[in-house]
Amino acid sequence: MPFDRRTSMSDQSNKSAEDASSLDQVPSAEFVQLFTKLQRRLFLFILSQVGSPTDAEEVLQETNVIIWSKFHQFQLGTNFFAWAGMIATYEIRKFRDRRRDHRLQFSDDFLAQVSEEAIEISDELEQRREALSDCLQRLKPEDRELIQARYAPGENGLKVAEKLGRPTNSVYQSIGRIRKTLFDCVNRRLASTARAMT
Amino acid sequence: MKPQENSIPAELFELLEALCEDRLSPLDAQRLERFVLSSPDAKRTYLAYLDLHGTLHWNAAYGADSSNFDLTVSIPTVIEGQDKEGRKSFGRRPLGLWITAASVALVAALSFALGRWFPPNDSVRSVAGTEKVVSPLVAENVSPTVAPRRSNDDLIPTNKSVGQSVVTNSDGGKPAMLAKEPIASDLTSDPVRGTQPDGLTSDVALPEIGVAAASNGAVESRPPQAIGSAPRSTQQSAQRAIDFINEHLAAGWKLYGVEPSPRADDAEWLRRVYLDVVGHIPSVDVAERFLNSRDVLKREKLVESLLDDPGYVRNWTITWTNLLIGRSDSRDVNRSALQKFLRENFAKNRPWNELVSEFVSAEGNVAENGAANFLLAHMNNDAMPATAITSRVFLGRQIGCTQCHDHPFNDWKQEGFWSLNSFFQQTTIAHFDRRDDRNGKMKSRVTTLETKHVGGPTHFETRRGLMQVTYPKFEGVSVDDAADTNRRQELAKLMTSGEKPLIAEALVNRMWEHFFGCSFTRPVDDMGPHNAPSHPELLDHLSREFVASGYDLKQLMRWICLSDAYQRTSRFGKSNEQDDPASGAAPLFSRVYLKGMTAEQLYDSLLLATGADMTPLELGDHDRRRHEWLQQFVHAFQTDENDESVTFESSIAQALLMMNSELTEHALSLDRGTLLEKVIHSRDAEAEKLKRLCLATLTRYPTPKELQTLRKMLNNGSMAQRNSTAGWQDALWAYLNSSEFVLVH
Repeated sequence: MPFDRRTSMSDQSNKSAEDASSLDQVPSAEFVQLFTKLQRRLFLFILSQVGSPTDAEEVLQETNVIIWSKFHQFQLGTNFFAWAGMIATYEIRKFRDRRRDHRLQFSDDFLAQVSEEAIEISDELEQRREALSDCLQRLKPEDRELIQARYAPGENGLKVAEKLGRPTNSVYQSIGRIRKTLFDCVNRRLASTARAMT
Repeated sequence: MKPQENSIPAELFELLEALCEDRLSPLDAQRLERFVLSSPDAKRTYLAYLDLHGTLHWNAAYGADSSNFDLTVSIPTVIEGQDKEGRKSFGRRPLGLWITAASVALVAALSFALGRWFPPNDSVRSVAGTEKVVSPLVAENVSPTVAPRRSNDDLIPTNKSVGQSVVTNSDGGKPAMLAKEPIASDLTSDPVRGTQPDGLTSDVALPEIGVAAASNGAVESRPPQAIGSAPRSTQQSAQRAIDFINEHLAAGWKLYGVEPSPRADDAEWLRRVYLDVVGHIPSVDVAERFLNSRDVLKREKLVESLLDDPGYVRNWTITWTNLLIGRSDSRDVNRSALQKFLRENFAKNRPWNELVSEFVSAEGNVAENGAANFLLAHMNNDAMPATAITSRVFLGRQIGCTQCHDHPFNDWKQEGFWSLNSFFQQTTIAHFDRRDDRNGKMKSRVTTLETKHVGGPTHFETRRGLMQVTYPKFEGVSVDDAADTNRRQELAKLMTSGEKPLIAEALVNRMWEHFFGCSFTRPVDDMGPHNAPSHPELLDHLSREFVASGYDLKQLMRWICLSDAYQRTSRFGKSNEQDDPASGAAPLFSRVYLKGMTAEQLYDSLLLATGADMTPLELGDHDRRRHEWLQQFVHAFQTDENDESVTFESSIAQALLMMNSELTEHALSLDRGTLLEKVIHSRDAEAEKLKRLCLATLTRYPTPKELQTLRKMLNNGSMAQRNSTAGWQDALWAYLNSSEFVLVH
């Protein structure tokens, strides 16, 4: 599901003139459904380019505003993710320009390559997300508890360490080890699925 | 389809982990980017890992099933509003952030565009696309290239024909110092015999020098002379060290078939030595005097006088404040107390080993013991930053990454990091409120660095999840881990003892880089067996000599400034174009490499050149104002080493930033006392005025071509426009915006 690169933002803004008359419409139920369903995917797509979940949430919100205001430009039946992804790409750039001082400044080349690859392997990434919930169940209980504490909304490794009264470094290391365990577990599950299919 | 696990280097996972915990430094981010782009497998690993991280984050916040996703969480009230209106009303962020972000972006966009024209600082060709860096610009290139900033606080009044200037020492309202200009004379009077207010003739005002430069190759040779106050043995040992540098570097040139660059002309050298030693460009008076002096020993004499100049103390105080605690402010760290400590000790030329010892073992009220602020700034995060920065800054060893794993290339093991960390285990920070004795009201908050009497091992976790213990140990020497051992005092002793401790090598390497624009190892603070120095014998010899001199910082600077190589121009020709560290080659020091001014040098030099500091607006606390001004460009990160980034470390960007600031507006104004005001109102001929502008900003006389271009510019247009104030402002602006201004060459 690659982007349709022939459709540019400017094409869309031209169209918006014609559509001006339909501004009073509300989004169809189908649009809302697509929109909702693709939130996580969109978030993850943005995350791969901005690096931090909080930043990704911010960009997602901005993207959503645009998506929502332009819903009438979207034609049901065409690829929603491709359309929304393009808006996201545009918002990512704006975000970067605004945040030039930010320590994470990936280059244009990096963004281009990463977003292309993200779309290329998006099916595989979906599978990985499903495998992940199984892998979470397989963790040792204390590891699962720690990773849940780490990902509770608003938390990070530093705060968890403070709460647990453990040295920060050792908490970082434990969390890193658990993430790596999950990563390896997902790899193994995908590999075995692939074997099963052949 | 799935990443080949085995082909993925462990370091990529380290970087990904740092990214997940928001601990990635800007440098790490660059490395991560290179990694990811290096292979398809790495790219997929990156995506898969971040996807995992993001999925965990998302599912915890919104649930794994996207269809449960609560619209109201993510979708703002904009729905009814139209695009633009709606956007503003939406969002969780305060409006102020938008405004800040927008202004940062504006500035950043400018610097970005410019950055492209201005590649890494060493390549001469990169500057304004001309082979000659030293006499570029203005005429050929009135478009902005790079701009200036000026460094230290002590401002030598540009336009005074006086040999003395009163300098108020900014922080803490310390006593005003009498700043004696090394060589100052009346611009218009006879440069040789100009009488100073203090009754000295200008030639006499030049201090006598202890050492004569040894010379080699193309540089004319001089008879050794020993005059002055330094003891004879010091002079001899200085001469020996200089000879060693000269012979050693010359041998390298011969070996590689490189012809060194010729001796720099006086103007180039004067500007460089001023920026390097005292942190700002020379004033017009100083420049004229030096350029017109026929004293064969004028360079040697200038070095001596600069080492005793108040600017010396200021410059090194700034340099080491930045190295020790960075440019950004943090709560409780008492910057001015640290600077006071540095000022007093650099003024005394306190031996380097004693300074290191003070920083490592400091205790007490940080307002009273300024040295304690170094560790105070880095005690966060289980003293991990303190461990890493102590090692990097004083020992020249980067062990930050060994906190998590053994270093792949050098001898540092993970345990090594934690056994060094163990020395900081007893250190704590305490705060208390000091009350006024009379009325019992809270007076001030006091912060102290204290040593708890606790003993025992330090724990760390290996990558396999095993808990390990280690004890205080430095370079193989263990220290008793009992509670009554003061571990930091022991560490200070271990770090500063021996024939050639690491602190000597690290300092020599850093100092060499400061003057030559390139160190023996790159980066300057990543020394060790994995990173062989370009001139191992020279580094070794200088380090030993430095120890033998009693860790005498001024002596080390004297050796470097009077070395044959430092006398040479930064320009290069066919015969030594290969000597270009920017292209990755090992440095041969057959020329002096270009470096960009630091933010402080640029700020101070700009004020000094334009006289903007002499106006009432600019009177007062110069250090503090510069520091505040700098804050807009500095961003601190809470990473393992408490990194920070300065928005404009590349020169061009700085220039532009400054050119768009109030500061420059003032510098280009006709307010009383500015350079422009004096130039425009003087009765000099036009060429004379332009000469003064050029000398004030670039420390040289304008080239005929520049003169021609600028005069054309001034006399362009209608009668009314001719010779207008705006024309003169443009001329000065062009000089300030030249890459020549913002480079140390």
